[in-house]
Amino acid sequence: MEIRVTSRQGKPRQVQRVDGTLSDQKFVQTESWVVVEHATCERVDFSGRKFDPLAVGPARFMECNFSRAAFRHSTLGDLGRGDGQALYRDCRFDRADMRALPHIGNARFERCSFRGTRMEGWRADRAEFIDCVFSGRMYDCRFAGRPWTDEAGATGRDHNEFHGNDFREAELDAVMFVYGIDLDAQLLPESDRYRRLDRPTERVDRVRAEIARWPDRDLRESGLLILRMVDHPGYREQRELWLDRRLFTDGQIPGLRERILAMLEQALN
Amino acid sequence: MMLGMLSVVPGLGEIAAAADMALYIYQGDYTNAALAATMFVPGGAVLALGAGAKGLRELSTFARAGAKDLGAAVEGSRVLRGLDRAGQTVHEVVSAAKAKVSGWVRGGEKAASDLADVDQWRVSGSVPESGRTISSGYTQAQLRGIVGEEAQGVADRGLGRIDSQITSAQWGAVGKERWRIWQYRGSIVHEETLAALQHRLGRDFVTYSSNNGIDFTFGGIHQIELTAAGSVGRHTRAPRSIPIDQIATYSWVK
Repeated sequence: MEIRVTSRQGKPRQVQRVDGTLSDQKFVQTESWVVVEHATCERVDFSGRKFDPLAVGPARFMECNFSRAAFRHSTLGDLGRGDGQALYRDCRFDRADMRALPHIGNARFERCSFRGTRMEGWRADRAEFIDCVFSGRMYDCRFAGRPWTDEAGATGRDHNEFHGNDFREAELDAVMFVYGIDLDAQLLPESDRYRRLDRPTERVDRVRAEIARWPDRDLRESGLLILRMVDHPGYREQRELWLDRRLFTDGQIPGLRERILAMLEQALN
Repeated sequence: MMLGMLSVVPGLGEIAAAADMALYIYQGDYTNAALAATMFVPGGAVLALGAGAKGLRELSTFARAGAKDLGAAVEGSRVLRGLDRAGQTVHEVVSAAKAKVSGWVRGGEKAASDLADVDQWRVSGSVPESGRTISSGYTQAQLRGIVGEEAQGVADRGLGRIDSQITSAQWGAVGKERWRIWQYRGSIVHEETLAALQHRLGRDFVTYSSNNGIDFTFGGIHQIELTAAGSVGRHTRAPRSIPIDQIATYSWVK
C-alpha cells in the first residue's frame, strides 16, 4: 500500500480569553480570536484592534473605544446559549470595520456612536439600540423590534428596546426596520430617496393581488419577486414601512421596479 | 458521516474514534491519527498536551510508522482502549501502542512539519486554558457529524423559514440573478449553524474560519466545510480540493 503523507490542517488557531475586570488600559491583544465572557471592561481602548473573530458573551463594556477596530466573523453578543446579554454603554465604534459580522447577537447598545462605521449585512435581530448615533453608509442592515429569531427564548424578552437613535447623517442603503420598530422614536434622514409608508401590510397585499392578475407570466413572476423586497414578514408588524426607493431602480426588466414602487406608494389612494 | 453519527452515540464514541484513527492512518494523515488515538482515553488529549509535544510526537511517530492495512490499525486501537484509563499518561499509551504496532510499515517524511504544529498547541497553552478545545474529546469525524446534524436541523425548518431571513437587498439581487437565492439560503444555513454550534460547543471552541477558506474551525485545529449535499463535488475538486472527510453536508427540505 502506498502511504501518502499530507497535512490538511493549517496552523492551529489560539483563543485569547478575557474575563474579570479590565479598566483604564489599552487592550493588549495576543491573538486574533478573542472571547469575552463574564467580563467588565471600563474605559478600555480597543481602538485599531483586528478581531477574527471577537466572540462576546455576557459582558459589560463601559466607555470603551472600538474606533477603527476590525471585526471579522464576530458576534457582539450571545447567539443563543442564553447566558446573558452584552452591554455596551457610551462606547465608540467610529470608523470601525463592522462589515463581516452578520449576527450581532444578544447585545444592548446605549449611547454608542457609530460615526463613519462600515456596516454591512448586519442582522441585529436580538440587539437593542438606545440613543445611539450613526453616520456614513449602512448597507443591507436589519434592525428588529423583537428578537424574532430567538425561537428558544434565550434572550428572555419579547421585544428589543429601540429608540432615540440618530440616523440623520447615515445613508440607509437597503436598511430594514422590522418587527415593530417605531420610526417616530428615531431621528431619520430626510431625503427624497426614502419614503415612510403607512399600513404596509395592506399596501403589499393589494399590490400582490394586482400583480397576480398580470397576463404575462414572466412579467408576473418578476413582479412578485420584486415585491419580495417589501414582503418580509417583519414588515407586517410595522406601523410604518421605511422604504429605500433606490432599491426600485435598475431592474432586469426596464421600468418594472419603478412601476411597482409607484403601485406601492399609491396603493391606498 | 457514519462515523460521525456513531461518535455522538454514548458508548460508541470510542469505536468511532478508533475507526477514525484507522481512517486517518489509511489516508496518511498521521497527525490527526495521533490526535484520534488520544481520544480513547478520557482526558487523553489533555494529558498529551500536558505531557508536552513530546508525547504527541511519539504518538504521531507510531502512527506515522503506518499500518499494513485497516485491520491492523483497528487492532492497534483495541490495545489503546484496553488500557487503564484513569492513570495512564500519554507516554504509557504510546509505549503500549508502539509495542503492538512495532511491525507497522514506515510512513512518509512530511509528517515532521505536521508535528511542528503540534508543538505550537502546547507552547501557547491556549488549548488547555480554554478547557473546551481539543480536550473535549471530539474527533474530526465527530465534529463533521455534529456540523451536519446542526445544519440539517436548520434546513429542516423549511425554505419558508429560511427565506423569511432574506433581506430586501438580497431579494433585489435575486430579482436580477435568480441563482443567488441559493447563495443566500446557503449563507443563512451557515449563520444559523454557527449559532447552533456555539450554543452546543461554546463560543471559544467554534468559529467561522478564516484559514484556507474553510467554514468552521473547532478548537483552533479541526476545520469543517459545510455545503449542501449536491455541491460536494465543487468542494472536492480543484482548486479547492477539500478532503471529503472535512466536509459536512445537509439536504434541502422542499
